Amino acid sequence: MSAGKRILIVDDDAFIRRPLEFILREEGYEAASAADADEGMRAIESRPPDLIVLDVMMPGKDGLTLCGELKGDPRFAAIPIVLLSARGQEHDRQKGLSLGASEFLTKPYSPHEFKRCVRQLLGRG
Amino acid sequence: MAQWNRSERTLFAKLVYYGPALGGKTTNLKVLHDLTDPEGREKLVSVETADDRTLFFDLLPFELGSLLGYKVAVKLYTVPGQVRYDTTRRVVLAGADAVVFVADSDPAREADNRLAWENLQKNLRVNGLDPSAVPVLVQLNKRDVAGALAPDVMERWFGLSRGGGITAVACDGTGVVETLVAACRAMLERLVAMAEPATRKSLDAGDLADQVGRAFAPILARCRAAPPAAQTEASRERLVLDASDLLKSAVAAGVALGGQVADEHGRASRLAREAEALRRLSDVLRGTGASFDRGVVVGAALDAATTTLEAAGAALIGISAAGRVCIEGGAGRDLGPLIDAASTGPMVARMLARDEASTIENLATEIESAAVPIEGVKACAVVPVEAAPRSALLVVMPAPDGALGDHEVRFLGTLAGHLAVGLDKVRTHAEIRRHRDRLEQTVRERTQDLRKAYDELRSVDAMKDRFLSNVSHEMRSPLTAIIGAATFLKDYEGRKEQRDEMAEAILHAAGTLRGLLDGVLRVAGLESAATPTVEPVALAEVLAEALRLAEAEGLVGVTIDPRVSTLPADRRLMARAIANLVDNARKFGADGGPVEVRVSSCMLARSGAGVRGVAIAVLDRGPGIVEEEADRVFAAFEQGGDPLTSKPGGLGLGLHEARTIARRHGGTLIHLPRPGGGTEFRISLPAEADAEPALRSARGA
Repeated sequence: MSAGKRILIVDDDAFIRRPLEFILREEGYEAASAADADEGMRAIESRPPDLIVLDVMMPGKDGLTLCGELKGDPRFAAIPIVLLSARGQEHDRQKGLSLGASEFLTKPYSPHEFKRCVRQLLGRG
Repeated sequence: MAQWNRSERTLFAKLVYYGPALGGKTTNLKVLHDLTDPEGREKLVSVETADDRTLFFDLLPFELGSLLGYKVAVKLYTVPGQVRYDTTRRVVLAGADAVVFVADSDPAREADNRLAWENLQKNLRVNGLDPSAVPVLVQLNKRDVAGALAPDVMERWFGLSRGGGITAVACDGTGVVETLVAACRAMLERLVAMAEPATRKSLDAGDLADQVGRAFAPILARCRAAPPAAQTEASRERLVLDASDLLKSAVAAGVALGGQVADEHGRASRLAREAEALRRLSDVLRGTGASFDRGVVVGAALDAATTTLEAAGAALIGISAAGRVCIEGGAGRDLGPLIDAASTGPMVARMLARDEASTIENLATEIESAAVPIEGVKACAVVPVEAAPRSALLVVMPAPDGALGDHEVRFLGTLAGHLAVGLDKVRTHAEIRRHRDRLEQTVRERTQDLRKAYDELRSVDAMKDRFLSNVSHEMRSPLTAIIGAATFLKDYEGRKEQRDEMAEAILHAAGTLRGLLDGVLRVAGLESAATPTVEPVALAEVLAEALRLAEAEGLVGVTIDPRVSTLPADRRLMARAIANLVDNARKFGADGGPVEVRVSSCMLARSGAGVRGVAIAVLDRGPGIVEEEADRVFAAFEQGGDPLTSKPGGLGLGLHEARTIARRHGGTLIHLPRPGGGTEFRISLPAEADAEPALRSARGA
């Protein structure tokens, strides 16, 4: 399966972050989380994950900015990124994808959709 | 030869006057012409030489009237007196029905008389006329000449019985008609005698002498009433040809033609003058037609008056509000002095009061007592323009010979008519323009109203958009949490702590959703709610409830002015308003320091007078409000900050709700930058419950 694949979730809302962590662990992934962009960056630098889940709206540095920084950094540019947003506007989605994000999910998304997306990106098997 | 016409019952007869030259034959005819044709309808055809001699003959046709049932017309002829015109005499004599021989009583003319008499006898015979059958009457003319031959001497010579000649002074009319009457009677007697039997039978019987007498009665009467003077030749229109001096005739004709040309020239220049006047008038019409400006219209008319008439000056005069004659506009000389001077003012006023044009030929003679107030002017006219308000053209002509005749006054009358039409048009236009301006003003106001209504609708629409956007955004996160947690609980067994944590997440998210729903319902309810229940409430209680609602008990510093203990308010609503301000301060401004609430006494400016009030201030040390957002902060569903990074939560209803509540209490809610950084939100309320009028302002009241 996809055992050992490491996923980092960056979202300021613990009530959104925690269910995802739990579900991903149940699915056999190694899940870690960060409450804002800076904490997320530190986690990535100390141990680059196989996939990053980024909330767009966060206090401090927003998800889109962090996404752009990661894709501009050769060390992390190859890590697929999934953006989460409470704003469903098309231009947010376009901007995210143009910055190099692999997927853009609008809240409220279903965990099954989320799982399918993660599975695809981590190229199971 | 006489012509009886039985079917038309007419008789034409020919009577020839014969005699020596200058004997008075033509004079006889002139007198008769004057008498028989007083209207001058018939022309006495006289072919005369310059030295008063008959060249060919004279011919005077005249109707004698009805005789014996026939209409009788007689043609009177004269022959040229001089023997050398014998051929003419013969021709004229041909067909004569009777002859009057006019003999000259002057003894010096005795031989001429005889020659002419013998010539008559000869010509009668030549013309086949029997001298014994054709009646020949002898008129002894010129009885007034000195040493006139005695009638009986002359009669004897002519072989007449005593008294057989008719005495006459033709030049004063004496005996002229008598001669004609006698000649006509003799002629008619002979014509009746010579008529065919059928003709004679058709004649009405009766005494011919009587009838002739009756026919001539009016002529004789006229003759006696006003004896004609044959010398007054010019009084009768006569056709005179001068054959002896054609050059003289040509010159006379040339002179006559010259006179005619002069007349025509005069007529042409009069027409030219009238055409020029008409052109001026059409200029005035065009000028006034092109303008709706009263000054321009009046000026065009006055210019036309001065230039066309070469007037010294022209003005439009009227009656001022004070009842005095006043001037409006002018061309040429200033006519003001004419109106103001004591010598002429009242006169002009009188002329203005008249409904017809009036003129003064010479101002100087009209006002003998004083000098004319304007020098070098003579005639003056006042021509009415409009009756109400009364106005007139005042025109003054220059000295020494400026005159205002019929032509000029007529022109001024027409001009005044044009001006009246122009002024009426100006007034109508002004009226229309006033209406139009009013209409435009109304349209502007209506447009403004509509725009305001439109803006309101648009802002409501924008509010709705913000609401939908905020609500959907605010609901997405808790829904995501709930779905995520519920999915975990359903799909996986998990550990006890995990299940608890997920249940906690669900409850928390559900609480957030409920808060959102409350806010929406509160605003909706507030907008449509009835008047708040205002009563004096204890300030301490209101503040305590507010802090509880804001979940800020013990987190906020409160300072209350001891002079303020109660305020008139709806306790529940006022607590909500303050709670919202505290909540807002904590969300947006708490990073910089503690939030404070201060209550103090203040004065409110109300319609000029100060009213005692209460100020409730909520202060923070946040980043403050940038100027662009100063107004927006109170709009419903507006939230400050960067939407990607600041996520205070909520729908953006708090400040909107707080201000609505303040206003429904007759108060205000404003925000001020705070010295040393931060923001102060201040509710100001009247301290007494006198805010009823303002309470109605909230919605639809």
